[in-house]
This record gives sequence, C-alpha cells and structure tokens, in this order.
Amino acid sequence: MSVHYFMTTNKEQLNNVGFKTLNDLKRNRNAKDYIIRITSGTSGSNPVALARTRSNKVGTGPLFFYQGMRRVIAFWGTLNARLSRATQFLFYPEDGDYTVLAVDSRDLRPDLNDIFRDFKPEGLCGFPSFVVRALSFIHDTKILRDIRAVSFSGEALSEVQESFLRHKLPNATLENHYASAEIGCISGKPCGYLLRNQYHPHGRVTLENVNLDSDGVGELLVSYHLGPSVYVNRYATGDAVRFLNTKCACGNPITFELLGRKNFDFIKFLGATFLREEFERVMSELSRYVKDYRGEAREIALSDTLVGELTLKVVGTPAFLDKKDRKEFLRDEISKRLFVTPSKTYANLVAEGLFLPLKIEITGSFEHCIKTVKLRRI
Amino acid sequence: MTKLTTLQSLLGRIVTSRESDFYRKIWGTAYRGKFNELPAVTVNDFLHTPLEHRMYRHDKGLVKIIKRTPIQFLIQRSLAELKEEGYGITGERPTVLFEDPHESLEKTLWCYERGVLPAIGEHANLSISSFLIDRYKSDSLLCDCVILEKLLTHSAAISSHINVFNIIDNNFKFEKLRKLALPHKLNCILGLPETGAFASSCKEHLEKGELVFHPNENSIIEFNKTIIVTKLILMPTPIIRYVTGISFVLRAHTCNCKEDISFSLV
Ligand SMILES: [Zn+2]
Ligand SMILES: [Zn+2]
Repeated sequence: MSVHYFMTTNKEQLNNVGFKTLNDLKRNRNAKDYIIRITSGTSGSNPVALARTRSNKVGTGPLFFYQGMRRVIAFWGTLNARLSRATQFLFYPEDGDYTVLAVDSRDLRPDLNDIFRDFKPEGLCGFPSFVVRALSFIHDTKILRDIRAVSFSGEALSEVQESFLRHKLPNATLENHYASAEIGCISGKPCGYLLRNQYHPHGRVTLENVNLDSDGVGELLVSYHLGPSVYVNRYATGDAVRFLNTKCACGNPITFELLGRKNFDFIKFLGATFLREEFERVMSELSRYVKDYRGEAREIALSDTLVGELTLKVVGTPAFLDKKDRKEFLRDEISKRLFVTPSKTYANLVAEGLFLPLKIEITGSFEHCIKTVKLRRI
Repeated sequence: MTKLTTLQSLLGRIVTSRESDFYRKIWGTAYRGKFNELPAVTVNDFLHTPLEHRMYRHDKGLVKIIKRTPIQFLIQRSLAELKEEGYGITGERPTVLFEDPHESLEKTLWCYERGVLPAIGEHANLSISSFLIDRYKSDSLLCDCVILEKLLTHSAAISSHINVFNIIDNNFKFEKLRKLALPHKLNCILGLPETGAFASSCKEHLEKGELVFHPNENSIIEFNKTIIVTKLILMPTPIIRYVTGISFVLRAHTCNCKEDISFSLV
C-alpha cells in the first residue's frame, strides 16, 4: 500500500484547520491580534471561514504609509474586510490615534460629499473599483486635495483607474498591495521600481508557482502561518502569476507579476484534458440523475509516481437519490462517457493507472457559491 | 459612585470643556448645576452641527454614518468609552450581525474591547453569515430584530447552539421574538445608533413572558412625552437629556432587580 498525501491545501482543508488557531488564542488571551475572515465560495466548495493572526503590524505594511494622519476611510465590499483594516488602524497604538470611517455600498449616494466634508479624510484605503465609485460622488476640490494617501488591495489597480485617481486626487500617493482574506498580506512593502501588477513577497509567506505554461505563467501556491501553531502548506490561491528572473533595482531578488484569475474552463494535466463542454455534454445525457455538478481535479503523489484524481460533487435528482448503489452507478456511467483525450475516456485512463477512480460526492446544493466556475484544478 | 455623582462630574467636564461648546451653546444660561432644568437635545441639534464641533474627546475610534431619512450625520465612538457600553453578553465566541453595517462594526469593536474575538456577519449574505456562525460555533449573537428574523428564517438550526441573543434595537415585536428563540435566551437591549444602549430587558419578566426594561447602570432615563436619555460616559459627543422619540408605559416594580424603574414600550 502506498501512502498518498495532498500536494496542495484546498479550501475544504483550510476550513478544517480554520479555527484551530483558537487554541493559541486561548493560551495567550490576545483577541486583538486575531481576525476572523470569511470568503465567498467558488466551484462547489463552501466558503472559507477562519481565524488568523494579523499580517500587518507597525512599519511592515499599509499602516506605515499613513503616518501622521488621523482620519481614514475604508472601502471594501465585505464587512469582514472593512473590519480587518479598521482594527489594524485602531489596535496598534504606536501608529497614532486614528479615526476610521468604513463606508458601505449603501452609503454611495450624492450626499456622500457631505459626509466627506464633515469627516475630512486624509487617507483612503480599499478595493480599487469601490474607491473609484465612491470618489465619483465627491466634487469638493478642497476635500479631494486634502487626501494624501490611498492604498489598494483586493484587485489590481487598472491603468484607467490609476489615471482617474491621479487626476481626482492631485496630492495623494497611491500604493498597491496584494492580499487575500484567507492569507492576509502576500505582497511586501511596495517598491517604486515595480510596475502596477508587480510585487515583492511579504516576509511571512512562502510562494511557489506551479503548473507553468510555456510563458512561465502558473498558479500561485502560498504557505504561511494561520496562527503560531497552525501552518498552511501550499494553499492554492487560484491566481495566475509569473516570477521575474531578474533582481529588482532595489536589491530584492524576488519579484512576481499578478496576472489575474486562471481560466478553469479547461484543465490539462497528466496527458488528459478536462473540457468544460465535454462535462456539460455528459451531464446533459445524465440529466435524469444529476441536477448540478462541480468538478475538481488534482495530482496526488504516490510513493514513486504522480496520479490524477477527479472529484465530482453532484446535486442529485430524486430518481438518483432513490437509486441503490448510486455513487458507483454514477461513477461508472460518467467514467465510460467522459472523453479526456481525443480517443480515450476517463475509464481508459483509470485502467492505465494514470488516474484514480472517479470520486463522487453528493451534496444538497451549491448555494454558497457565488462564482460559477464549474471545473478547477487544485 | 452613584449615578448622581457620576452625572455631576460629567456635567462639570462638559461645561468647562475646551474641546467643544456644543452643549454650552444649547444650554445657554440654563446651566446652574440643576440637571432637570437643562434644555433637552434632539437629533436636529446633531444634524445641524458638524462632527468636529461636537467632539469632547479625540482619541482613537470609529465614525458611523447614521441615516435619518432624508438626511444623514456622523457619530464618533472612541474605543476607551465604547468598552463601557451595555451591549449584553459576549459569550466566548460572539457573532455580530446587524442590518446596518455601521452598527455591526461598532458592536464588533465592543467585543474586542471586552477581550473576546468576534466574528462579523455579512448583512447582505445570510447563507455566508450562518455558515460563519456554524463554523465558529458561536455561543452568542449581537443583532437587531429585523436581521434576527431573517437569519432564523434562513437557517433555524443555528439557534440551537447560541446561548444568548443580544438584540439591540429601539422597537421589539416581542410575540414574534418569542416564536423565534427561547425566552431564556433573549436579551433585549434598548438603544439608538447615536446614543448606544440605555436599558435592558428584565430576566424575571422575560421568564414570565413579558418584555419589561430597566435602565442600564450607565444611563439615566427620564419619562416625558417620550424617553429622554442621559449617558453617564464621556462619549465623543456626550448624550445629555437626549429626546429619543421612543414611547413607553411605566410599570410597577414587581421584580427583585436592584434597579426599581420599570417600563415597557408601546
Ligand atoms: Zn524592488
Ligand atoms: Zn427586573
């Protein structure tokens, strides 16, 4: 028997350790050093909920950027992102006496200009498109001139957004960060030599780039401490990156370029191609049994080789749920119908030992999923 | 310290404040140390005074947008005084979920100031919020009436592992609440976004199926046409004789609570 292990940490596994960090918290009783985050789900997986230690303390991240300022407005779509930034400003006293206003999308209305006039912000932080949308309500040039710093995370700042902001906020310095709810800061201190979508890594994370294509673009895996005693190994972010081969002019040897989300409509590995259309064809043939599905493909390292594994999460029809041996039935039906090379089915590749037998998981619904990615490689 | 001595020292600080003359302007010559002769303040006094002109302290804190159709205004809370609020029982693993996200943030900070780690729910996504409550194994919820009803309609199962529902609101449909959650788990707290909490439900009465309030320790309640509130903490904008617009019925004191003022809402 060979032991196999997960090559990467997926969302489900992250969920399973997400609150193990509370044991550390109990010992140290320092609630303010922790933040609870939740993400929306993708591709048939649940959202991820976890408690992690904060990634940015004084001097290492965005707060340094706001030194000498008092009033900051935070703009993020989710409350837990707003809370995360607000508490960073409020809980680290060395950084100054901040007052934070966290704006909700419901606050985006014409009298937001009056709110700005009353609050007198000196700094802003947030999700680029949210900041841009909010600033389109602000017409008072005095207020806009008094804004001296804006930092962004959550998505890359586009060229159009950047020029809008430079024009709208003539006295503001703009800064980009790359971070996620599950991980915290992934990029380190912004560097003036880098382009808009380029970053140096934060000291708290270990980055890897896997499944590279011919241009060197692959999926980013991040290893990091969720808490003092919980280490997350190779978490798949779903973001596509490329590492640059040259040393930055600032002296930092590691620079990576963020290239957005990966296209998961097809997955190619171990000689097989999983096409979304092909899944749709097979599933429509089996629509008497399957209402909806999500697929996840992964590589598994056995003692001396790599094999592929495909897991399908399905929402079954009553006809399916009433069936005896329904998982085995569906496994066999899909395996013999699903073509993964021009001439071979999944069943053929299982017979050749390249893939493990198809795994079927039955679920009630995919209600947590906001994104409709049906296939992904993890 | 009794409520009266706390009140006298708070009024003294407000009258001599170098930070703001908001109350001095409203009170004029009326201030002679007699509390119940001071002119009451209303939401209009807040609406028509910029935030910086009604700030009696400038330490770190949160600013909330308070919406009163058709206008809105700002209120600041500082972490140091927020800690004194009577927002209920945090439990060990509280989740905070309000219809108004500004309230959620404030109550979440309150939990942190009380030394516990809060989870913040997403008002716009109840399935994610109930997933969070479930994963965190929350034992306490801080919420308002409307979102509680929505949440429990969406996912009734979460009510089983929550020991206390701290419902902070200015209007309680008690019959509905009793159907949603067991009475011994209810903790109804009367408050407004601009004042914070000022009264809490009596446990004894709740067990008998009645919603009766007593003033909180840090609040003085006067009964005029509507409830008038004074908060005994130095908030950035202190609350002194604030007209809430909340209607009441005075009740006889029939429970064993130390606080002998009892009232219900109409
Ligand atoms: Zn550099
Ligand atoms: Zn009582």
